[in-house]
Amino acid sequence: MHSKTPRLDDIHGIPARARKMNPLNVGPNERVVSAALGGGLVAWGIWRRGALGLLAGAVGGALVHRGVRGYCPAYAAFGISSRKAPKPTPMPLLETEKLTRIERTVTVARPAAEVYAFLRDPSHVPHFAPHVEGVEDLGEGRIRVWTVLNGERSSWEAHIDLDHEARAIVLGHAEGPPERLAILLGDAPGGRGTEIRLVLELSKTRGLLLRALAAVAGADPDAWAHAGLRRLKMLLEAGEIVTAGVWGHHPARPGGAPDRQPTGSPPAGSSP
Amino acid sequence: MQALCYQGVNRVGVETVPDPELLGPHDAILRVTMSSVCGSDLHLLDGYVPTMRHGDIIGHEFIGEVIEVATEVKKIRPGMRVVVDSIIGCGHCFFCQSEQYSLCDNTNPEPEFTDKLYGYPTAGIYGYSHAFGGFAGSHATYVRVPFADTNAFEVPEGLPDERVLFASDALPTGYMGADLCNIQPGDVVAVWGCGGVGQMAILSAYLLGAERVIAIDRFPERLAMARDRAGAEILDYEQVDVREALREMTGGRGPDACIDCVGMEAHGTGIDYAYDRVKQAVRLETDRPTVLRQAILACRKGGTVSIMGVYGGFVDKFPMGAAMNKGLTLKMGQQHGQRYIPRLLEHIRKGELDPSYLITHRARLADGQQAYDTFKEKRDGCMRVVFTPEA
Repeated sequence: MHSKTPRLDDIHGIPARARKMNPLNVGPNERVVSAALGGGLVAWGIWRRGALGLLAGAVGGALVHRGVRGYCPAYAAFGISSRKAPKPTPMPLLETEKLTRIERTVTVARPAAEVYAFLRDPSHVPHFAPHVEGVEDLGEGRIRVWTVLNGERSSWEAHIDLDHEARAIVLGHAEGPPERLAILLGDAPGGRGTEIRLVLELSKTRGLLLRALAAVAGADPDAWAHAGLRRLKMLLEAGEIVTAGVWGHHPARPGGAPDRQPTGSPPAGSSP
Repeated sequence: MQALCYQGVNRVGVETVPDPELLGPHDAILRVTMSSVCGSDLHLLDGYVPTMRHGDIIGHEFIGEVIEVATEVKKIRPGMRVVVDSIIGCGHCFFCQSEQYSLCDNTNPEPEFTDKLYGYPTAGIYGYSHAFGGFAGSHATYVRVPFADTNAFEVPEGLPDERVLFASDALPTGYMGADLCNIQPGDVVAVWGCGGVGQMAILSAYLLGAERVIAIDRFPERLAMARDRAGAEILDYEQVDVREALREMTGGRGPDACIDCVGMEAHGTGIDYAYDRVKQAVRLETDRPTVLRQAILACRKGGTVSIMGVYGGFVDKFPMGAAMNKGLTLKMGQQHGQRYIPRLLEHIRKGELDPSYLITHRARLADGQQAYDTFKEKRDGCMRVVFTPEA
């Protein structure tokens, strides 16, 4: 029996989306000092006039802004904070430099141990991951992933790191760019099951390229992550990936790889 | 097979389409024996719900015989007569486990639209546009039922289709509308709309202990039905000032609970109705909340407003101040029929409920256009038209 899985945010840091929304990094005392000092500088600038006055006004204005908002871009650039509030723990598993990070989280009403057991078997991946056609286990923690995108078949080799303690699965290229895909698990509160966070780290260039492609060809990695997690949730909770099917005049579902039903019996919930 | 399909705004027609197949391990295929029109179909046909496509099979309130089940279906067997809830639940997610089936996380295969519009996607519904999953509807010879063990209920022996059909949608919707009101002894309940759902809400309010039920509509035959078949006191909103009448009828207190069984295409007589018509026509609001405003203003202080009529998008001039300062409780939602159907079937079996009086017209699928026209314009005293697809 596994021990209780800790909360997702405690182990892996708060999600990027939440960090962006709440970027305070200046402590309360410093904010007051910053705003007061800035106000003083602005007043002095108005009194002094001339080039020096203008400069003082600009610097003062920036200090006031910093104090009022509680956010300092210079601090952010150096990754420091004078705020005592719990600092977001950087995700320990992955590098954050020069990468485009995509995160999506979903809650599945199944226990973490069960979800982890399902996910650590690479042969389950094609059942829910968009565009993944097959996964070949090469042994020694290495796999080959076959993907089909717009009719084009390609494959890449990856190494898998499993962290049994934190119930994290990290996939990285065996060769090539330091890009990674991580699946991180944590307990949802109140016995609501498992929070599953998918983190995709792409090189900045590839991230930009894919986002540009997303606009024209629908190859949006964020949409993949979202869709993949939804399908995973359906599979784990309901025991199948629900489809409306093809009927009437509709030649095919838009954006649709054909729906696959797993042949094995995934750990679905028991009948109510 | 033959199916009644959407062919454009207010146009339907019979088309020959492929028979449904078992697609998932929890599916069943039904031969439809009866399928009813529903007021919410009119929102789809009128073009107020986007994501309808030419060829979509409509219809979501039905009863039928199971002809085939997939490998993982355990309770439902071929040959069973079943009534199916119009909203699809998976039975396993957080919401289904807490009996809020219409909020199911897993049964909408096209969740993007409602995810954006509502913040989170809701459950799939048969024949109810692609925003609600794009499932084939029930106005057809056959229909595929996903998660049959969760969504299909065996009809007790000896009960004819007519009496059970509305346990698929109108009855659980009306019942939930009354259930959400937490009716106490002595309560007076006002019900706006005397269509199928309104009639069922009146009957359910009495079943749940209401002292009096006051029904509001403008069609004499529907009001007469509410009075004679459901036992309500009636108000014609074209003849009286509804708020004043309700206040006087309740000793100056106001109704303890108000149930909106009308929704987004409400009619009215006041200036606010004209205002909503104009705003909706120029697409500045999607829904006309004429009834909702009236219910909030009419409800007694501390009362409950239960919203079962369908709303799709945005409303204007919502009387938030009245709702807040009067301490109202607002409850709403698409019906969680799977929670109610077993007890409703029991009420029907015991003769405590008989919704069959809603059927005023019968039609073949081939007469679908005429059936919907009659239903929409409420011609010839039409309450509900029921299709018998094999006929």
